Amino acid sequence: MVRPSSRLNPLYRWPHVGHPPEADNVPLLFLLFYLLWSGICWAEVNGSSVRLDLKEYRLKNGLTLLMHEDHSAPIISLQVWYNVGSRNERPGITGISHLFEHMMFKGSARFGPEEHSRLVTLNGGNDNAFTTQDCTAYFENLPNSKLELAAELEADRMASLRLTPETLASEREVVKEERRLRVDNSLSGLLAEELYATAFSLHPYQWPVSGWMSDLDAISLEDCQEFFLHYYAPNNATVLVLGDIDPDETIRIIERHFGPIPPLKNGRHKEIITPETPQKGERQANCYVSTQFPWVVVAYHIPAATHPDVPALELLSSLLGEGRSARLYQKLIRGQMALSFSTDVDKMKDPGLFTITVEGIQKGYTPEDVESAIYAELERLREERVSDRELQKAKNQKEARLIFGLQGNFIRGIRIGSSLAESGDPLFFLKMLERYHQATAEELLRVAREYFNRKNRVVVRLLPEKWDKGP
Amino acid sequence: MRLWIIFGLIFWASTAIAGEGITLNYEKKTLPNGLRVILVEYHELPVVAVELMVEAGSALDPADRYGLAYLTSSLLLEGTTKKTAQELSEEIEFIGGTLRERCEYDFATLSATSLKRDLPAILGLLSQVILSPSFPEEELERHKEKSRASILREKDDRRIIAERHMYELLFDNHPYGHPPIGTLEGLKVVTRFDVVEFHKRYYLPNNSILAVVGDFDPAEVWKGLEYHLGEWKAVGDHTFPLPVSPSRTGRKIRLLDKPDLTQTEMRIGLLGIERKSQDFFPLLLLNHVLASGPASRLYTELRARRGLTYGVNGKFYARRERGPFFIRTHTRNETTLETLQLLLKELERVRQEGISQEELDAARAYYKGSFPLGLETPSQIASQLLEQEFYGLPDGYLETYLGHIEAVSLEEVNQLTGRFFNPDNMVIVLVGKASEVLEQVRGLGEVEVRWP
Repeated sequence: MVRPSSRLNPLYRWPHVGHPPEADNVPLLFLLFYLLWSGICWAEVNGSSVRLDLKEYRLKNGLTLLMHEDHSAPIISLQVWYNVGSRNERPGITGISHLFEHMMFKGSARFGPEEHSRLVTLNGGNDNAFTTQDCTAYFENLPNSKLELAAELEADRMASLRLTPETLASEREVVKEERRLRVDNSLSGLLAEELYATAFSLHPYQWPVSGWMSDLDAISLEDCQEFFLHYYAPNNATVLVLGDIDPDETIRIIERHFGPIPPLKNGRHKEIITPETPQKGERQANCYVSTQFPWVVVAYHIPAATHPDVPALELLSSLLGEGRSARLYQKLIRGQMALSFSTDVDKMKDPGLFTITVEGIQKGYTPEDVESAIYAELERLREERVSDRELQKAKNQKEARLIFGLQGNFIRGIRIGSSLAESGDPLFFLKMLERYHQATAEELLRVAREYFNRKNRVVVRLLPEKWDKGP
Repeated sequence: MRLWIIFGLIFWASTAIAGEGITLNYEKKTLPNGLRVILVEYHELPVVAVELMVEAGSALDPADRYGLAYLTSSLLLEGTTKKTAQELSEEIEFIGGTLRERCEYDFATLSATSLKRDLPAILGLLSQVILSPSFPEEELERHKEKSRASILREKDDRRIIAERHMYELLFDNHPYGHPPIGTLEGLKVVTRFDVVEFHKRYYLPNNSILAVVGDFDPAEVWKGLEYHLGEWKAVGDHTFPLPVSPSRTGRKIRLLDKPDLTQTEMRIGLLGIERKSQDFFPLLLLNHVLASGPASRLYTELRARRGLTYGVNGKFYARRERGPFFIRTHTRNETTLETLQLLLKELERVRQEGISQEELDAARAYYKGSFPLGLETPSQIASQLLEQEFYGLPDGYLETYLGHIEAVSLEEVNQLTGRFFNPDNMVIVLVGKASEVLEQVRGLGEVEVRWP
């Protein structure tokens, strides 16, 4: 095993003199002064209300702490959400957010490589991390008595990650292997990568979160160090603590471990991101790959998650694709044109896509047949007002799905964190319930007409290699 | 933990799990028709979930009709004597609910979810689906075609290819040797009569377990169950024994050639245990040390130290009869041999040397600490209780779970390593680009090369 040698220099966020200073004995009154607000969001659901209480606290170094108490099980989840994802990358080092996420497990000032996960496992917990276009999140799910351990581990690597040539070399291979698994040798991965590369020519959503293979080879240790200094700081992160916790004690623990970490000097790193300009005409791509059955994705550009048209787009997605009574299920699956399909609405910080993905087009049909069937359904949405019952069905489905998604401490945290990442408001997703309720058939008609048009369309197909003929 | 559990209707029991402060509360009862029912109350959110588990899995497929159990289960949702498939799905989806079926090796399940106020509606629909499916001829034909196309499409997916061949090599003609979805030959001959008979024979209350979890009033649920499932008729006393899983010796290597791949998907497999086995807990701990989670030996050797793979894990699939044990991983074409050799070396090492007391203690600490994480939501609790009931584990099994973990000795574990992890008796399945992989692995034994 390649072990870090003694000559290595852990990358510290502050001049390193032994362990980080302990911020013990901070008087509680002083802490409460910083309790910014206590947000409670109610959502009325068919007469019964769903309530989610969130307490927010801001540390002096700019770190935001969000707490949600739930004493129904003796467990906690601690999650650190960094405000950085593949949208913050630039050509040449695409994939660095994700590679970096892996490096966060390769040791920090007080813990050796992989020791974070080993300690969490030893204490009966599980940990992991993920990177998206918009954010990077790390989490530990543990018994309620182990909050301090999670805080200690996360604070240590936020403050003082060890980045060494040896760990970068082995983890680079792991990340390339992950790319082979998720993209190069996966039909759904290939289709998604080609879709975003076709749909976006200016905005960073054009490259995959896993990065281009040549960039994964090119990323240097210096790139990683620079990335760490730019984005891994308390004032670019939110710590979310959920479960069987005491808020005052949680504040003390978070203060003790994260409080001493200095913030980025000039505040958050300024984002330099080119917005995508409106598409001037339909874009198409055919990929010839090793598949027996063709696949196709039909997509339309849509606005960012916080745009007021998004709830209507989500309801349209339900009408088309949620459940066996959905319009496209009837046409594509019952009609035996394809084996499976899904509809999806990107909810991202910047404008994304509305997608209809059809996997495994059956013998006897071409991708064009399937596309025509989809266009006919979309045309119907542009022409005919949706019936009250069908609209109500879609609203009920969205609502039930949202409530079911709140079961479980960890999942609840992921919901809150994603909401924060995509909209800047941790409770935005609950507020959407009201927006679904308010949606009208006229609004759906208007939104369908606005977005489901040819100029705004992107179509990508996966076709069997033998179809690649002629000049 | 605020979940109330009752044992039977007569007495309440709340069992504190030693030292962990966990109290499980559920209510369990057998209806006059033999249907075993488990109720778990959970009032945190206004939702309910119902799951019916029927001993009607693919292991009960007749030898010439592989895929029958799966088709029967799929067709339950395609119409009843009162409603068409479209009416059924529209009705449940209008209330924001879901109704799904699934067919596994040992059992088939029907599960439904809804908001609290719609529980009566989903109980009604569930009972209709289970008691009076109409099995329309044209739906059977459509599903046979769908299964057939799905089986063909599986050959585009390296992971499914690997599993299919692993099962075939480990189980041969045993009922676990074919996948639940069936085979092309089996599907050809299945008729509507077969489906009707399979349903009649196996979908019985005294062959099923029902779990209801969520925000409800138990008295109302009992009344609802009585009303909706009371007329479900039991048929005699019966058990459906499966043949004993075949034991095998010798190393076997099969390489499935998929020339487009840039990484080799690999499985190392052997015959594992039945769910009721005394070895369940020792092997759970042993597997944790060897092959499960980011602290395991295999993860450390293959990924953390050498960057050979993104993931590696092992698992015992304990079933009614002895199920398989798999190690799964993948690596780039060039490092196929290196990875395989490391895996075999680690297996040989665990066989020869066993594990250390420190490793066993760490595995124990993991299971003790993570126990409440696995019993957090009502559906997690319900699935544990269903499993306990289905496999005939003793009452109070969950309550004594940690005691079992505590009781495992190092000696016991290390006696098992020799019995299970003999690298010379293992089945190796590789899916990859033969022109780059075959030469590498020839030295490990005779390699059978096939197309997927």
